[in-house]
Amino acid sequence: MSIQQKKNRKTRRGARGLLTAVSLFGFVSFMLLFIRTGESRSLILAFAVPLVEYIAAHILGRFFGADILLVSLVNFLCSLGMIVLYRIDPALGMRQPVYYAAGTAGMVACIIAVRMIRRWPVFIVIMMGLSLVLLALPLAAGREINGAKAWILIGGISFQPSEIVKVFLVLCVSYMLSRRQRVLSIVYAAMCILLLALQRDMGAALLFYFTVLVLIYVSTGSLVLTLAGLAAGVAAAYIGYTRFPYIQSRVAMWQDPWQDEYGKGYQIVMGLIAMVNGGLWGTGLGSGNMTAIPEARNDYIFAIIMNEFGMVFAALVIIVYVLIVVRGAMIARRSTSAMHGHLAIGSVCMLAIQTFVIIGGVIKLIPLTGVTLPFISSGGTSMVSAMCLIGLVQGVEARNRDVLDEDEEMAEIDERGART
Amino acid sequence: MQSSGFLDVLTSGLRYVFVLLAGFVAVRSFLWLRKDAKQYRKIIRRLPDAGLIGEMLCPSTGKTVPVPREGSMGRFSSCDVKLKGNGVRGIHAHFLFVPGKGLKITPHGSRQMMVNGRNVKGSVILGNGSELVLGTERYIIRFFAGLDAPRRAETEPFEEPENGEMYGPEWGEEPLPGWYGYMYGRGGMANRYPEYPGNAPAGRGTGCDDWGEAPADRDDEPADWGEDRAYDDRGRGYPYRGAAPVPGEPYVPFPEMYPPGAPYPQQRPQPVPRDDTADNWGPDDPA
Repeated sequence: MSIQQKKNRKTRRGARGLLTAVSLFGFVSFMLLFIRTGESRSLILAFAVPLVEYIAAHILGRFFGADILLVSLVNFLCSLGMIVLYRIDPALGMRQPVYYAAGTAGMVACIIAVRMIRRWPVFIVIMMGLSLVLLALPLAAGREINGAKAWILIGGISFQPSEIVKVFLVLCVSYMLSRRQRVLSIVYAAMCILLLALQRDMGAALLFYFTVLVLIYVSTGSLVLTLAGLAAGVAAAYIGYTRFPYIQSRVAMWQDPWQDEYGKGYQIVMGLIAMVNGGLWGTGLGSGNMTAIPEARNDYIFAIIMNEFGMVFAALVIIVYVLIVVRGAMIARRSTSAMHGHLAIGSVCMLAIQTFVIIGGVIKLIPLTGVTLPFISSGGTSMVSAMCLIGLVQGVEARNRDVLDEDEEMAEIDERGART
Repeated sequence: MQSSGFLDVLTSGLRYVFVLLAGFVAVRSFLWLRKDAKQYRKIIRRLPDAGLIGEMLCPSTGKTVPVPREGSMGRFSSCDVKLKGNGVRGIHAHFLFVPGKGLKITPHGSRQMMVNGRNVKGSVILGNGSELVLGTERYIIRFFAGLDAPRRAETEPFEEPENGEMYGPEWGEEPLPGWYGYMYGRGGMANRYPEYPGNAPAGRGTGCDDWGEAPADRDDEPADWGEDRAYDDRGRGYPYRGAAPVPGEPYVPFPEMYPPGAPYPQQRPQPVPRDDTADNWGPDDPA
């Protein structure tokens, strides 16, 4: 048995407890919903979701070199998303496992790509072109939802191109910064952000901006450049604030949502009430009455979690996100090349900033911007892009492990030789 | 479906179960992370050169720079191999270790580069002991033993592919011009002078056969390499990254040959003619 096989076996054994807990959480939650509603769909999900997640984790770990810890944490969040969405609307809950499957396929594709591709330049050029085209598409033929013209409809399926471009942006900027093509990377990122601003998709623009800023800091270590980027961002935000009334309205609602509690501040007020109602331990799954919050399935899903599962559980959910980020940072530190390091840190940064922006908006820490909560909110593109970002991190980890295993095998040969 | 009282009790009770499960996931993951970090530190302590395939030696300064599997080399701090030699550009070249072939190196843009005395414009494959000139600085590539790189002796005579992409020492010639290949116990002349410890067969990061290549399988090696071989605490041989020279001081691989105060590196030990009949590998295994 090789070192790799031995280690895989040990890791899988160690992961059993974690995966069992995640599966148990899904099973108990769906069973409770079944007992409450008597719908056979929840009974099917109670068995299918934990089983599929358990098998997916093992397959990803065994055949694709994925990090089982990351997979388990992501599975926990995905289970939570399916449960809450089923609670809000059973039709959404039934659709979410399909998105999970699509996301897993995307994750596998990203792992394989990062592990196998050695000649990135061709792909980078294609991705850069494609991302600009994708971001320009909604401006030409997009659908406007909630004030942002960020969706396009292809073959009856509506999707948000900025979610796909997230993955491309991390890949392209990581590659360019690792090759020290700073100007090119900044120009490319600025073009993406400008197109998003034109779509009025400020949430995505904010994500892109902060991710690129973090990557520039990680790549250059230059505080001057980072502060200059930050100053440019502040200037852009000020111009946006003075030019666009809807941004002023968002900020005003953040400062005092009660001034228009039945109008523009309704969503924030309802969210705050839901969270307070939940208390420390929550009202219990299925007992909450706050599912009528506007956009509860997307932006405000965290308020529903706090309402039904309680503040302690919500804090644990945030800890799970933090653990994902910490794991990603560990993987980035262990990477053997600059590009892979950038890739891992860029991916987790994107997820971390997205999580911070939406949870911070919901709990009224910062002005609310419309982004989804990764792995939990409803939406196929959001789920696929989040899973792809995790796939990039997994790919880097798989490469790190390949290299380390090779080193260990070489050392073993050495030690065997020294012993004899 | 069920009575309201029962459901309320069940739902209320399960709130704590959910918190417990989420807490278990968080705590278990945290412990896993901690354990994993500990294990990784342990591996790195055991394999300080993990992730590396060898090193680049600058003969003029005696300094070595670790070489990872892929990345870029140049003057910039963001490069994977940072070189401070004269004429080395910000990003001078990109490299990628190709298992079974060697280190593929490509100049960045129109950067100038020489490999084994020849000007290079496209990608070339470097073997163990290949000489690389970036700017005016000369570097020697040294692979760690056990690496899946070609053993030049097996490709005898060394054939240059028609596309001219591959360069290396010509068969029958000194693989490295000058004396440093001999000095460092590498670069093709190792084992010809068995009295020098650097000529001991390969440990990780050391030793070469006649063509600067470490034996692929250490099991083929004789049991005892003699007392003059320098070992680190894990039985690996020098030169070894763990035994790197003191920063700021010239690298003296065999201090016993250069007592303090002796001029270095001008003083060159006199080579002893090779005696092919002698047992260069030291005494046989007593067993």
